[in-house]
Amino acid sequence: MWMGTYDFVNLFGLLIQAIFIENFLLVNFLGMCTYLACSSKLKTANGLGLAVVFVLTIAGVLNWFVYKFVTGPGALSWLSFFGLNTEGVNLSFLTFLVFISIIAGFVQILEILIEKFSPALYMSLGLYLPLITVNCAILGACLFAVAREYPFLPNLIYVFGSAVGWWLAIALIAAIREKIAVADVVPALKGMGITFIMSGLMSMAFMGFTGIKLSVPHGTAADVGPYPLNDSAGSSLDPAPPAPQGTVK
Amino acid sequence: MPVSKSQTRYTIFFMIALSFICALILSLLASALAKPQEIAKDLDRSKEMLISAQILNAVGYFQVRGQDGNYLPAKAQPGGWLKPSSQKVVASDSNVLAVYKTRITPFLVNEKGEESTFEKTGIDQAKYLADYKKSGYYHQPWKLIYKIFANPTKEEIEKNKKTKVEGYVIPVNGMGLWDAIYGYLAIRTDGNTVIGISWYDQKETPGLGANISEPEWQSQFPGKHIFQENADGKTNFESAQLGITVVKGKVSEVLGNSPKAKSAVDGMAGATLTGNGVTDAYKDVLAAYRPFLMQVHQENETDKK
Amino acid sequence: MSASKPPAISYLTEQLWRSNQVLVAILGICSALAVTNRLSVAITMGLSVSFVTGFSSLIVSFLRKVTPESVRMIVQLAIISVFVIIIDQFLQAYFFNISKVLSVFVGLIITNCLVMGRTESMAKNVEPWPAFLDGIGAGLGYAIVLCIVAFIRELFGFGQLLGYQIIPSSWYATSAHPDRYENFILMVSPPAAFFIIGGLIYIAKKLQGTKES
Repeated sequence: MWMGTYDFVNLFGLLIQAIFIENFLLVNFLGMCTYLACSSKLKTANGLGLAVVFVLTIAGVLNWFVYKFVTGPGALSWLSFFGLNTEGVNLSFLTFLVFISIIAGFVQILEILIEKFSPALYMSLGLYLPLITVNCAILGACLFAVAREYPFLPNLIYVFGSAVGWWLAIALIAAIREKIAVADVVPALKGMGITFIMSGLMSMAFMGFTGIKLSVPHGTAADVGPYPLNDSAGSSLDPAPPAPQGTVK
Repeated sequence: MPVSKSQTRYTIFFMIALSFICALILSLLASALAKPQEIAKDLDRSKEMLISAQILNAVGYFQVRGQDGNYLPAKAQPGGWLKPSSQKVVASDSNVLAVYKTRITPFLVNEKGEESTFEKTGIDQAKYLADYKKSGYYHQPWKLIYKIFANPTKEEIEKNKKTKVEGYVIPVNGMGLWDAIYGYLAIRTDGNTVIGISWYDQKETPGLGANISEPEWQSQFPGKHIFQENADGKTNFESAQLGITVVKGKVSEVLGNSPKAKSAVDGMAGATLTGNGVTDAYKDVLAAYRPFLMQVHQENETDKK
Repeated sequence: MSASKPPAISYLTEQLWRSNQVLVAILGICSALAVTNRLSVAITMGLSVSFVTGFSSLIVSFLRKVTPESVRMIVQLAIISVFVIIIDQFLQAYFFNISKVLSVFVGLIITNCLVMGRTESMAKNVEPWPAFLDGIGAGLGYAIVLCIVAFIRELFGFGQLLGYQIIPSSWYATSAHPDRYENFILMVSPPAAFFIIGGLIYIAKKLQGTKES
């Protein structure tokens, strides 16, 4: 559950994959709205990026726990400890609602804490926090992560990497936008139009990263399946047990 | 900001009421739609399996295999049997499920090639199907496989007779470029010749790797051999390479007339890695079924004599 | 408060062109780019967003007088989530193939700036019926842009529309005629969506007349 069959090379590969190959903004296009709508300065972008890294990493972890123990398939089995039979109960339809509530709630709490404990940090960061509650990237990364059913540590690396990649892309776009603002652009394309075209070119550049496969556990698919479900299914590393009969555990 | 106590209480009450109402509405909806969702999932899986077994054409109509090996369109009849027809009628959902029930049955094999069923081994079928879909049924001590029964005639349906087995479907999974890929591979009773394939779950690049789900690319597979032939034309079932290779480029250019060409298909331009994923998937999954396939081949040989 | 209120239907028509959320307000792009590979997916997405925006605006407007100010945003989020979940469950039950392609993007309608934008700026200030029309209009404006992008991408990237081959296969390159049409693969990949929307923004600005340079 914590590490699954991933080893550290896989985790590193996963980090690279999340930051560059499947860059959240340039490949999945999530999270642009919030940025484009508010400003074209690099400073703002950095502030936003840092806030996203923080919020996404922690929210991603919290949502992983929710998925594991409340809304995922077979998640409520821990209730059997209290004598409740939850065989037929499937709460997956609540996933979206619970995830967004956790994100919103967490951001709210974070804002209050920052305001109380560090007014200086609040000045630079706190203004962006309400903005990122509705940032597609946060909810998106959480949903993608649980769809792939990573174990805990890979999940953490994935959400962290996604956030860093998002920050990277935002910072790059902001830097270029600052320069373009004083360039000689066709009037009707000034502002948003040229930003989109520029983002398209950047997206093409990032396509050059496809194919790097460090993140599949144990290298070849020959040993084990890509995303082992949970270790109660028995380690899929074991060769098929010699005794042919017997139930699958 | 000082907020009056009644304000806070009202806020809390409001949130609780709202959460309750939302949860109620959603729970009602989810329970009401649970059955249609289940059916939709089953239908999708059944359709894909029937497509790989060439019982359902990719366009959507049923087909039966003629004497010369070509496929003729057919219509589903009550009872789940197919009658050849001159029209290509797209199959309805209920017909797809009925034909699936008549023609396909799951069972299990182990690494010794011994057969068994879910009942005999005591494994919960629904749980098994859900739990090991991602990690792969071929890793389990009891591996999932499906029998394809031949198209029954009206009399056989009425007498409730089971027709003979005309093939097997093996669930295949592997790793594409972006994410895991899931599909089916249907084999004839000689344990060697491919009837057809399908890929029902993949997240490959649209237009490139995602072509593995396109009927055009899949149409290369029927007739291919999963056991690679030697140069002398014989096949050593114990040691031959097992699987279908997606080559880079065209088979006719890369392999020419070599017997290896019988176990290879053309690659997709710009989607080499997805193609490699497909090759690896077949290689890894079929390795687990080799003893069973060898046995099937043996029985088929003795039957022929 | 103006004495004469604009006709209700103008709320809808305004959103379709003059204040088109995607082209003018630049909201709602997130999911607009990834789901416009195929026209059928774009239509489904556009209709889903219209449904969600319209009805959430309606409910938010109904509740606007009783919603406590401090939890305003989270109440809006909750209401939007409920409608998104309704759509998601419905798609999984009756349109399984499309829901497979859309997968998590349906959930992302919740954070779609377009929906929140309408509830935040319009719905909590006007009556239910205009709010509903405004929401539907915003959704339809978004749907139209999506369909235009998907039309271009599917036509040139696959040669098809809604799955039907439009560019005749006789036009395609063969070994005998290697210089004929090949599917424009770039259209199918992410960057093309950016370029097309950039182009559409250009056209919209030109047609609406640039008020600021």
